[in-house]
Amino acid sequence: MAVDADVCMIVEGGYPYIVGGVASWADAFMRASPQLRFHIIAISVSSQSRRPSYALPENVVGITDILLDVCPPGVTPNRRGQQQVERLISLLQTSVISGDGSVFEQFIKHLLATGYGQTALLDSKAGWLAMEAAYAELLPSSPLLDFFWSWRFLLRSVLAIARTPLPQVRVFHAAGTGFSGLAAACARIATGRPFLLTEHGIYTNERRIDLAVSDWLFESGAGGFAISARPSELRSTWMNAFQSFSRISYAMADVITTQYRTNQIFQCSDGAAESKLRIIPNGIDADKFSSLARNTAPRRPTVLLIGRIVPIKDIRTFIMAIALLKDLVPNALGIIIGPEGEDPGYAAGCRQLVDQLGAASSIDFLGRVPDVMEYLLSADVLALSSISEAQPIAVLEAAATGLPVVSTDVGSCREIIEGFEGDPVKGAGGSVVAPCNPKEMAEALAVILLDDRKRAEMGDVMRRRAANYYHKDRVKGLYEALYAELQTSPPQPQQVKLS
Amino acid sequence: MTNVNVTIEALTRRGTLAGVFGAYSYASFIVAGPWIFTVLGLSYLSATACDGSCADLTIFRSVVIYNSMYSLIITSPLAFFAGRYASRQLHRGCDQHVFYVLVLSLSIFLLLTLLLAAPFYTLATRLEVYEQVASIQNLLLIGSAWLLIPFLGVIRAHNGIIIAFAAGSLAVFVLGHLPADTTATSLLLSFNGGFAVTDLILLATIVRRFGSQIVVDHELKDEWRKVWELPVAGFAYALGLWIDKIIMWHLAPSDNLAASGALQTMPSYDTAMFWSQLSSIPVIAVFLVHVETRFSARLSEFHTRMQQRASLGELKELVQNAARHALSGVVGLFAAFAIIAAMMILTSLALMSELGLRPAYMSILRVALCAMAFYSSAILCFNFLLLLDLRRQALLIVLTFLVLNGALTVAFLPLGPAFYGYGNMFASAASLLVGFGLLFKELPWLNYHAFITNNASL
Repeated sequence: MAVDADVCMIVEGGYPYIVGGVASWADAFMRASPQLRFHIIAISVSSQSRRPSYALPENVVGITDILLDVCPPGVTPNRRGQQQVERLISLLQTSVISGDGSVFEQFIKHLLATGYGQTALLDSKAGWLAMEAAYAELLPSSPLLDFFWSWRFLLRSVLAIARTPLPQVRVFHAAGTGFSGLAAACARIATGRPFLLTEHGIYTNERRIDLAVSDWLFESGAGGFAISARPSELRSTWMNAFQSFSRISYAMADVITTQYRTNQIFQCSDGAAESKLRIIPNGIDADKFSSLARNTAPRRPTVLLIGRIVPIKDIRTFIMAIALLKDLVPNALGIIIGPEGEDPGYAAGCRQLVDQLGAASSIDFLGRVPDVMEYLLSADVLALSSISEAQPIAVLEAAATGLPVVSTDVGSCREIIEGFEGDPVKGAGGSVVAPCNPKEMAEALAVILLDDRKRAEMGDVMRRRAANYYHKDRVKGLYEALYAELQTSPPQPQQVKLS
Repeated sequence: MTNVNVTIEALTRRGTLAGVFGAYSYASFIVAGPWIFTVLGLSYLSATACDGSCADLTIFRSVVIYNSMYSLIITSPLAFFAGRYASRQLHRGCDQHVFYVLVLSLSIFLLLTLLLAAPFYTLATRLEVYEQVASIQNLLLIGSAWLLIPFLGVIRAHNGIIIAFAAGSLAVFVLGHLPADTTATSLLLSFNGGFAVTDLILLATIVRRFGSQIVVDHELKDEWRKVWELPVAGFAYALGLWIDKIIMWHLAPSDNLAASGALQTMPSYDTAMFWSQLSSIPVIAVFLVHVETRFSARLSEFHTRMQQRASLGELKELVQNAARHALSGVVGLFAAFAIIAAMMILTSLALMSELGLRPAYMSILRVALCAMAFYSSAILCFNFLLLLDLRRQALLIVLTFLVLNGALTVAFLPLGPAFYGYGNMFASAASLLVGFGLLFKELPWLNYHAFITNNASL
């Protein structure tokens, strides 16, 4: 088979345009295997800037953009096309509600066979009738305006994904479920090529948090004053759709990897078959980091936080913890490194909180810095206050440099800090605290900052664990073996026919 | 609600006789002001000039008829587009480009007049130079009135419109008594004087509201491209209204009247058609004052509830109400047109001389009155569809009428004078069927059109 690339890496909402966790992982991952050629499918929306924030690795041979709010018009349906439109939308509706992979597969095959797009499924009268039927089934008596836009965005996203021209590759590798997983599932159905799913954070958990704090979704109660009117549940419809995206991804993937065990429990509860599950942690250049000498020059007791200034990182808890830490460790300094552009309103609120707490002399916002290593080597503790994480690269890199970590109990942070079953490196490299608890975090930081010996011991544990389990060469070997295993499975071309 | 409907509702809500009279006058002038003024001016000046057989009066009448035709055909595409543009701009709260669009429309009209109409008067007729100048002047004044009126509708200047036409009528009355001799030129100049007064008042009202600063809108071309159906519909509407008359003037084997060179008319056909069309004005005024205004209010309620996040069930109920109102309105007004037509047919013999008709014209008048009932009802459907912003469907109605009116008028010509007007009547009936069918089909889809077809956010 003539191929454009070995692997098609599918990334949602970030790489190569926005700096972030999954984007950084994807960049490092592709650089680690220069002998493989990658094609990137970048999923975003039209309003998002598409100016690259990363210099692409040399082994990236192409990029395809999927803009979720722009989908091809497709074939205009004829008079007899109404039934096909109804059937297609019914299949899509069922798959979005139930997450049934086989129904989704039928939908994609029908869609590709008919050539329909926005004109038929969204803008035609038949499409409108199908939307009314979906409304009656999903959210009767809710505001039509809200349902209309939600429905339109969902459908347009799926159509944009399903109608994207695919590169000829050996393996499709999605960095998450959601729209990435859906794109890989479509590719799996259309080309028969294997689909590898790597899930860092559990997508449905992250979307649940997003939906909980989103202000564009609200229950207006404006469904009229009819006694029979049911309250609107648009939020749950969205959640249901995201859950279905995950279920479809799990159903269509050949292998599902994640970085740590806790994630597998969530994946199983969302319908992933246990036989497909594997654990491959994130990899870092442990040799490079551990060879760097820590800065021992006299300085203020310094706590470092590396992360985007966004709600999911719960920077406010970190700020409150540092404000409390001042009383326990005089002269303590908190440094926040990370871009503020993603949610300027939240970032402004964080700065305002620093002023309100009178902690301006104890907290520095540095934004993006050219060399984060300089700060890692000159800090005493790394803090992580996130309410959701997977396996944060910042924590692994800090660990490799021998820096103790105080983290909330999210993702695999407990495994990194305290070790896991069968871990040859014993001991704790820091402390794990409850999310959204500034007092507990401040106390844990104080314990480490006030005890030099303990700090050194913890740093050593972290360095050894990083070198043993999270070494990039080990991780690279695991992925390359997985690609080889998947490539040996013969391609399964799908016959796209109307049943 | 459209601005015209808002004004009418405000007038009728006063609950006074003056308010109701104002609403009906405003509705009549906004729909056919220049045409009513033309018919009344023609009748008045004809009565004061001579007994109706003199050559100058024939030239005067023919020139005014031709200019009414030219002006409507040339200005309708511009007026349809400019009216909507001005309305949208005002709705968005940015009216700095409105005067520019008015000046642009007037300039295009002037250019087209010089290119098309001026050569006709100078080359194809045998009019004296003074008559030619007065004729072109007359065309410019009538056309300007057609172009100015949509802007006044947009700014709800009902007083301006009523005053303008009242002052114009007074001017015609005074000027009609001034000349000692009644040549075609003097009659045209008297008539032009009245129109000039009307146009000046209309223009002054617009300038008072928008100022006279010309601010170019560079996105006008995009807007034109987006709503291209509107100017095309305007052209089809105006040409459809005149196509049968043009055919009759130049192809009918008998009854033609050659006033001067190619300036030919057919009084037996024209007079019958004009009176039948004039008789529809009261019902059209009723349509504007009651039916369209209430329909417009229902549409407005629908859009408000939609933005207030109403459920589909509630919106469907509103759609059903609006659809029922529109369809029953068309049926009711068709009945009213039919009654008017019947009354006119019954009284026409008695009022023959007062209406300037002759016994030979009676059969054409009867057919023309039937055609009026069909055509006016079709135009009501056209109006409803435009209110729903279904431009292509509206275009289909006027295109149907244009094509059928032309084709059937030619087809019936060989059958002789007994069948004059039948082509127009059948074309009108067919257009009503098309219009009512389209309205019946599209009204239940109001939700779809609001969310998909006419959703500017998509």
